[in-house]
Amino acid sequence: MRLFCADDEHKMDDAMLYSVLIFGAEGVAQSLSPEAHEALLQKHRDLQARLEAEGTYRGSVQLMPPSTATHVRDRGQGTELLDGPFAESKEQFLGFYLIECDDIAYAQQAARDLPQGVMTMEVRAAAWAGGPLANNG
Amino acid sequence: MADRAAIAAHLAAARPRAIAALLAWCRDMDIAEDGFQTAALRAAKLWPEEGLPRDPTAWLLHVARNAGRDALRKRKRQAEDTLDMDAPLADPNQSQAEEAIDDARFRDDVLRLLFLCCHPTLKPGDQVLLCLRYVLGLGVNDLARAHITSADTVQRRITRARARAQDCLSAGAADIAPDDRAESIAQVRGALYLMFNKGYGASHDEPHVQPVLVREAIRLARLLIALFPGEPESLGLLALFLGQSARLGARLDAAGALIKLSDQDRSLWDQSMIAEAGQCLQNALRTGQPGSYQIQAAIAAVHNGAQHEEETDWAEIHRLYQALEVLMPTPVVRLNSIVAASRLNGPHAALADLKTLAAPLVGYLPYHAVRAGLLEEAGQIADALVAVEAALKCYPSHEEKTHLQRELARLGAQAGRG
Repeated sequence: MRLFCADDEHKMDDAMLYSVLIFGAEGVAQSLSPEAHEALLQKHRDLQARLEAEGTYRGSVQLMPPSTATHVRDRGQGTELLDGPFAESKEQFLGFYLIECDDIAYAQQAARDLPQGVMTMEVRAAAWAGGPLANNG
Repeated sequence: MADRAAIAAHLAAARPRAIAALLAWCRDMDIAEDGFQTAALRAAKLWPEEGLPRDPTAWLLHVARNAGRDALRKRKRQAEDTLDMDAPLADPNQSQAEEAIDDARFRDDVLRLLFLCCHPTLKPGDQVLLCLRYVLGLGVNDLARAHITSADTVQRRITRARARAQDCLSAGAADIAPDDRAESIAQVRGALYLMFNKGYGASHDEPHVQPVLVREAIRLARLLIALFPGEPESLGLLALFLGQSARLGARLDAAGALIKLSDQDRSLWDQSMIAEAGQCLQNALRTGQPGSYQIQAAIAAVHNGAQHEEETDWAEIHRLYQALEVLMPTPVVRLNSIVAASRLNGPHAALADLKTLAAPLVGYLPYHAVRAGLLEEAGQIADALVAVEAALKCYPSHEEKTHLQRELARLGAQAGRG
């Protein structure tokens, strides 16, 4: 499915929306020293600046720690809210980038430019997008 | 390739879980820690070359358990040689430690470790030290710096606390029946509250803020919530920690003097911490089980929600302190309640109310500081000067002392004019 207007001069016709999903083990990012944490943030800022300059940046989100999560579950008697993420899983979903580009290699390179070692990245194309993402406004 | 900072963070994050699983397996604090230490050293050597393992905690646990098994065998041989067989040892062949990491029991292992280090038979101060040293692996030198004492003193206190904890462990006194779980979690929260307050407001000429203690208290509160997410008071505790530490960047001026909440530059407050505190508190309050940490977090949130001091909703703060007084009828809570009331009704009624606190809070610095403020507001400058002098006798931290001396000079000038 095509997601972008063809008349956008900055984009190729076959531009796709890619997400770079970021995962990390619970507590690791919070265990970084302040200096290491600052270095990590700088890599994010550098990537954002590069994507912005190349016209491929569609946004990024850092989620609050999983301790703030609630999940919704239906136990057959209506939904109920429970605190915390689904389970004490080893990898936590920390945030994501949205990148509009021609091929997956570009998005994969962006994932490579992110700080390694503390987090793991997953690159996936969007199958469908709605709302502000649906039109290249 | 993983860099050293990343590896250090993985080791620090894995430590509480790994130590807990090892302790459940061998029930020996020395063997668990030595085993983890061996594994951490090997990780520091191998991971930079080979990259991080898929599951760092499981890797560490595997290596640590092998090291622990060797140590147990060696100890058993020595025990046989001396015919001293009365120390019961866990069967080193059971694979419990490896399984535990995916097991629901694993959560209880971590809780048992925390409860052991916060055990009611240990002095509260020693609970804090043992958590920092044994659960989090902080170095004795760092702890000595944070506690403004010598490394020898810290080491002695830790050794003593640890021996007592090992006795509890061996006697099964740290085991937690399912019915007692909530109580054990509450005990751990109490120790974390103490750790945070020790870091946030030091005394006796110590530097006023100990960021290490603040940071580690927050880290352990997060761990507690990750393991037992349904506890509103744990969320309240984390919200309180975050809501208060959001102001750390605004608490000291360039000269290192403490800045009162009312005089702080609020643009320096950490908005992302305030926002996270708000999320935790909302989730906690939804359960409809209020508690003292939630109320204190709510008070911090009301302060944090005011962009200027004048916008502070003192009526709401006063209501919250009244609710807190019901749960925590302590003189310190009463003092804060009186302060909130004075913002609504002026200094005279508050000064009258303070009289009941004169005896219990005679050595409590904030009591005298509050009184000085109210007396000044009421125009009784000479009495305010006396109150500031009384505050200076309450072992102020370095930053508090600077602030109080400045107050003394300011009030003295006013008295001179008057």
